[in-house]
Amino acid sequence: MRVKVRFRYNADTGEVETFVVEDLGGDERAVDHDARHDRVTADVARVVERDALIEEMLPGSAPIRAERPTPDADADAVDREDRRVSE
Amino acid sequence: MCNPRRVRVRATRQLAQAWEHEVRRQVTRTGQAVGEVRVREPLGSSVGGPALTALAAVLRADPEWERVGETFVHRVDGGHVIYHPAARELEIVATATADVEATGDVARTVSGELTGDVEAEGVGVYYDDNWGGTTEEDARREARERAEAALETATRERARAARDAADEREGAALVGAAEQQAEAALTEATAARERELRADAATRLATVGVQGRNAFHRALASAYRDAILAFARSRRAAGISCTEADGVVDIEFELQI
Repeated sequence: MRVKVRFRYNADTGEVETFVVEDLGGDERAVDHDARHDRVTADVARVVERDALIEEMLPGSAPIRAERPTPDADADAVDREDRRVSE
Repeated sequence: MCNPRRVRVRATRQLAQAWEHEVRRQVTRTGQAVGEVRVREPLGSSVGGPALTALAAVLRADPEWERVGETFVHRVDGGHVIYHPAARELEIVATATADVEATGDVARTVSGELTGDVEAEGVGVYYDDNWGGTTEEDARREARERAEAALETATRERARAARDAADEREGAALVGAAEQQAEAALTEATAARERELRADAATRLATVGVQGRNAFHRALASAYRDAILAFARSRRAAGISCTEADGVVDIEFELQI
C-alpha cells in the first residue's frame, strides 16, 4: 500500500496546520491494512510531535484547518481512509 | 643731574592673622539602569525528538541566534528571546535602559593662623641736586610705601600658600567621602530609574514577545522541514516536494509501506 504525507506549518502562527497521512490504496483487503497505516502515521508524527494524538478521518471529511480539497480530490477521498495527526 | 642715591627701607611684620577656607570636592559617577520583565512559556506542543534535534542545528547555524551556554538567544527591538532546549521553553525578555548620573558633593571649612615674621624691602631714588623735585625724604617715603606694599604681597602669598596646603591636605580625605556619596546616590538613582524602566519594559513585553516568537517559529519551520525531509529520504519516499513561501512550509511525499 502507498500513503501520501502532507505537512504544512505556518511560521506566522506557529501552528502545524496540516498533517495528513492519506491512504492512496493498494491493498485495502489486507488484514493488517489499518495497523500498517497506523504504524506509519505514528512514525511520521513522532518526527514532529511527541505523543501525537492521531485521529482517523472518515472518508469524505476534510482535515481541520487544512486547505480545502478540490472537487476531484474530494471525490477521490470517498474511497480513501486518512489518518490525521492533531496538535 | 648728579649721581643717583638709593634709599632702602626694610620692613618687618609679625603675623598673627586668622584665616578660614572652604575645601570642597565633587565626584560624579555615571552608570546604566536596566529594567527587565521576563516571562517563560512552554512550547505550545511537545515538539518531536527529530525536530528538536534539527532545531538545535538550525539555531547553531543561524547567525541571528547566539549560543549562550546551553541556550540560544535572539535579539529583537526592545529585548531578546531565549530558547531553553533542556526545559523546552521560550523566555521572552523585554528590556529598557537609561543612563544614570549622580554627584557626591562634600565641603568642609578649615581654619588656621598665620604666624611668624614677614620681611620686605622697598627702594626709593633721589639725586644730590634734588633733580625732578625729589628729595631724600621723598625717596625714603617712597621706599617705605614700597616696603609696605611688598609686605602686603608677601602676607597674601603666605595666606594663599596656607590655604592651598590645607586644601590639598583636607581635599584628599574629602574626595573619598565624595566618592562614597556619589556611589550611594548612583545606587539609589539607579534603583529608582529601574523601577520606572521595568514599567516601560512591561508595556513592551507583548511586542517583544511577538517578534521573539516569530523568530523562533521561523527557526522551527526550518527544523520541521529538515527533520521531515530527512525522515522521508530515510524511508526512500517518492515525489518529495517542499515549498516555502511567506512563512509557510508545505511538504508532501509518498511512502510505500
